[in-house]
Amino acid sequence: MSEWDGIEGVAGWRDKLAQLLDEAKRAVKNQDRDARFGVAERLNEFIAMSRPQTPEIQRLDDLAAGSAVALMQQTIDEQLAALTARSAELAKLTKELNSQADTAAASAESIRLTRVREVVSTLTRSVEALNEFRAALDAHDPATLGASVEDLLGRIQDLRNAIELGAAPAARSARAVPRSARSPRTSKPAPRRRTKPASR
Amino acid sequence: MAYREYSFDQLQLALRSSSATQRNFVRGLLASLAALILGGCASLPSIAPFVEASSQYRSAVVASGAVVDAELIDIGAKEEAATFGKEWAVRVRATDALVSYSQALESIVASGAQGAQSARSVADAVTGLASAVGVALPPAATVGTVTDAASFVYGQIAAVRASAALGEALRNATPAIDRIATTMGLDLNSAQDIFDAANVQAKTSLVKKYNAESAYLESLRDARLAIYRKPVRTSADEERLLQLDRLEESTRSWREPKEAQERALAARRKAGDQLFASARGALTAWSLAHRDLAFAVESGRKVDVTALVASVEEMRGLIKRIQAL
Repeated sequence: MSEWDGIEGVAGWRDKLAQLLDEAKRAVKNQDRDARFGVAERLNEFIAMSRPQTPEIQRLDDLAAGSAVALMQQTIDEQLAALTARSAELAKLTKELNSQADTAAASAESIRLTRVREVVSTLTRSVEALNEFRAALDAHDPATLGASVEDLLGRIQDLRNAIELGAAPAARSARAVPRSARSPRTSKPAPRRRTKPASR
Repeated sequence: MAYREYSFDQLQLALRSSSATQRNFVRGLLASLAALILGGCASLPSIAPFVEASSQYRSAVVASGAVVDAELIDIGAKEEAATFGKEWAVRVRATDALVSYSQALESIVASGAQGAQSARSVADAVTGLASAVGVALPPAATVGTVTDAASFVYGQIAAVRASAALGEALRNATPAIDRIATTMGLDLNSAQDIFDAANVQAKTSLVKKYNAESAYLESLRDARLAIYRKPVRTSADEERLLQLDRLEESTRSWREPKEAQERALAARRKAGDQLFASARGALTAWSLAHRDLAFAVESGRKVDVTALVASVEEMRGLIKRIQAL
């Protein structure tokens, strides 16, 4: 036997709805999640089961539908507010965890000797630039010398960046790109030639 | 464990030599030294299941957000859907951090396993530097022997460094991980409540839409029940029952679409609720595995990832089901 059996007439359905609305109020007051959903489902059943479809019964159905929707809307609003209230703390925790991830990634890089390798490679490139500079000095060609000085300065700056912990990776990676492949925007106004002068 | 003692002359001789025997001599000597200094090498746990679980958990959080959004849109709650989307993005970013963090842990473990290779890369770079400066290097075979030996020793050092780094990373992140797990557990509850509430509202709309038809059908059933309750049925009653059958049959045109919509709503609700339950379970398994991992690194024992792997499989299946709905 269901709870809808034996209900007769408008008065019977009105009493049933009054009982459901009382339960809905209690569920809201007690912040009882399961009770709220339970009453909302029963209000839906009330709408489907109440009969005959007289204007009075339709008014009761409208009231039941409005109550079910309001009950669920309140749940949605409350839970959205709860999410909003926790967002700031979660964002802070996310930042903290990202920082831990960065530290862990840096540890892995350190174990891989990545920075040591970078510094040695940059140092090698600086020495190469220094050798070119020496060759340019020997050539007595002002244009070649100027380009070579600029190249040398760039390499020394790279070395400084590589050694310092706050090195700018973008600057280093830009230098790693073959010069021919660079766009005009990234190229220096005075191109640094790495080829040795024709006459020595 | 007994350690042999070697004279400086023996070592120099080995470095000058290119024979495999002498290479092994140097390797053996340096390995003994490494073992003595480092006190044995730590074996690192596999982080791969942890990374996979993090990634799958992220997918579950994204899918959970999508089902809530779809349910809110379905009831016309666009404003609520927008607010939810904004708030849920914060949760997705938190799971991004979980993925980055677990990948960083995996990177530490990998770096520990690749110590010898890293040392070889540095040796190559140093050789390049020496060549650029014009330093005359010893014969290639001698350089190779020294590089081999140094790579071997650094392999051991890297494993120990990785173990220490992993332990430190796990220890430092545990408070944040635990709080994220607690907060996201509450968030999943909130999201499920929003999803369920929107689903009930959709059901209310459906019930209201077919209210008159449903009442008519119930009145036909009342009439049939009244005849069944009679102690003796007349021929008029039998005729009336046949008429009621025909009338009820005529309700099929609206009843079937209504029932199909009810089934679809119920299927969405069931799949969504299972997804939320699974995501909560996976989150718990993830944070427990994290604690277990920290303990395993400290104590040098293996990590049991059975629960974690099972939760990943469950989530994968549920996400597919949700996407198919």
